[in-house]
Amino acid sequence: MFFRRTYTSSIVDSSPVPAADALAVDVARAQQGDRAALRRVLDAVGPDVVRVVRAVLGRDAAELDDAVQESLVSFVKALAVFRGECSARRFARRIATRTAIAHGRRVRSRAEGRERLDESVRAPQLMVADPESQSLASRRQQLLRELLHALPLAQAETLALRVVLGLSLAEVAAETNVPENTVRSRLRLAREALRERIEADPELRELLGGER
Amino acid sequence: MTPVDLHPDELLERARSESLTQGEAARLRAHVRQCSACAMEMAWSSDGLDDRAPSEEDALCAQRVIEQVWGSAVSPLEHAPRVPAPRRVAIGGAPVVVIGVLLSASVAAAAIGDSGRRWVREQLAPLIGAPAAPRERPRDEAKGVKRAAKRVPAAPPIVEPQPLAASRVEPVAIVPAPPAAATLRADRVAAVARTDRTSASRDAVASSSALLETARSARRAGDVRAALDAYDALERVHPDSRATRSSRIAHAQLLLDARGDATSALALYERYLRVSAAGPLAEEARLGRARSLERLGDHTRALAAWRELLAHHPQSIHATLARAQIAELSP
Repeated sequence: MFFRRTYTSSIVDSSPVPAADALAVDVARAQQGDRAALRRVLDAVGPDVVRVVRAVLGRDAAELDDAVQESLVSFVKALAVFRGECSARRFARRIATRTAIAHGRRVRSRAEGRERLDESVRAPQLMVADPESQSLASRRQQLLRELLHALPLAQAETLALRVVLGLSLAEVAAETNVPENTVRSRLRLAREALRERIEADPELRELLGGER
Repeated sequence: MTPVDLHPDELLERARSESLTQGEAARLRAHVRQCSACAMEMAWSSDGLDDRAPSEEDALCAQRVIEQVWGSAVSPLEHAPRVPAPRRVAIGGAPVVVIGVLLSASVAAAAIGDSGRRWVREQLAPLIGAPAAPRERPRDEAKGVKRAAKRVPAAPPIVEPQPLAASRVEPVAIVPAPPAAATLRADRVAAVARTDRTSASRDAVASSSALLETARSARRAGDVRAALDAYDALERVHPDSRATRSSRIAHAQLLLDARGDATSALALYERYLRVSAAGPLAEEARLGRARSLERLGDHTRALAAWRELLAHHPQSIHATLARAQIAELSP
C-alpha cells in the first residue's frame, strides 16, 4: 500500500464554507479591535501555523520561532482584509506556508553569502553531511526543503500547498488565484526539477525506499 | 512530453483518501515505478508531511511563541494600529496599505537578517498591546507637555547620543526577587556587563541574545528596572550588534513611557536613525523622536520631527497624529 496513514476527515479543516468556521465570531470581533478575541484566534491558529512552518523549514530549524512569529504577524495584519472565504485556520496555514518559504529562502541566502566569504567552506550540498544519522523520512523532508528553496517561487508555493497542506488541484488553484491548468503546469515543472535531482543522485533514489 | 510527464494528479489525490479502485491503484503503481517525482510525493505524504492535524509539540511551541509576542506588548504604545473593521477597509482602500505593510514586512525581515525575530515581535507588539483608547492619548499628552513646557521656559538641553551609564546596573543584593517569567536578571546583567568586549568576542552573539532575552523577560514581567538594566548592558557591551540595534526602539519606548526619560529616549531614537535611517523601525524611531522632543518642550524641533515623519512615511498609521501635531505646533 502506498499510503500508510488514513486521512481522517474530522481533522481536516479544508471546508470552504465560512459559516462552518468556529472562529468566525472571534475573527469578526478581532477585526473590530477586540484584543481578547484576537488572542483566542491566535491561540486557535497557532498550532497550525507551527505545523506548517515545521514542515517547510524542518522540525529542528533554529529559525523556527522567528518564522512562526513572522507568520503570526502577517496573519494578524492580513486579518484586516480577511473576508471569510475560507476558515481562519486555513487562511493562517496559507499565510504560514508562504511566509515560511520566503523565510527559508532568506536564511539560506544569508548562509550562502556567509559561505562565499569563506573560501574554505565548500558549496552547500543537497544532503546533510552525515545522511546515515538521519532517518529516511527526515532526509526526504530535507530534500523537500531544499527543493522549496531552489524552485521558482510560484512553483515552490504550489508544491508546498500540495505537499505540505495536502490541498487538491482545485484548492491550490483557488488559493493561488490561477487556473487549474496553471497549477498542473507548475506542479509538472516542480516534479521535473525533483526528478532530475533524484535521478542524478543514487543517494536520493535510496530515499524512496519501498515506495518504488 | 513522455508518458512519465503525465502525472496522474487525480489518482494521487484519491490515493490520499484511499479511495482508489484496484484498477486505478495498478495504474498509479505503474506510473510511480517510472516517475521518481511522484514516488517522492507519495513518500512525503506517507511521512505525514501533509497531515493537517498539529501535534501536541506544535501546540506547545505555538503557545510559547504567542506568549512571547503577546507579553512583549508591555510598552504602552498609544498610537498602536488596530485591525480595522472590514467595512472600513473596503471604504478606505486600506487593502492597498495592508499589502504594502506585508511587503514591507518581508523586505524588512530580509534586511535585518537574524534580528527578524526581534523585529516581528516589535511589530506585533503594537497590534496586540494597544490600550483601549490609543488615539486620543498622545494628543492630550502632547498638549499637557506643551502646557508644561510653557510653564518652564528653559527646555532641557537635547543631548547627543552617549553610551548609557553603567550605573544603572544594580548590585545583586538590592534587586528584588525576580518574577517567574524573568529568568535572567540584574545579577546576570551585571556579570555580563563586567565582561569586556575582547573576552566576550567568542560568545558575542550568544551574550547579546541572552541579554536581549533578559530584557524581554523583564519587560514581560513588568520589571522596568531589570529590563532597562539589560538594555543598557546591551548598549554598552554589544553596541554594534544586531540585537542591540533592533532592540533600541523598544529600549527607547521603555525609557520614554515607563521612566519619562525623554532625553535618553531621544538619544536612542536618534542613534537608531543615524545607523538605520531606512531601517524597518525607522517609522517608529521618527515617531518616538517627535514625541520625545515634545516631551522635552522643544516645539521647534518637534514640529520638524513630525514633518519628517510625514515626509518619510506618508502612509504611516501615525500620519493622522502627525498632521494634528503639526497643526497644533505650527506658529
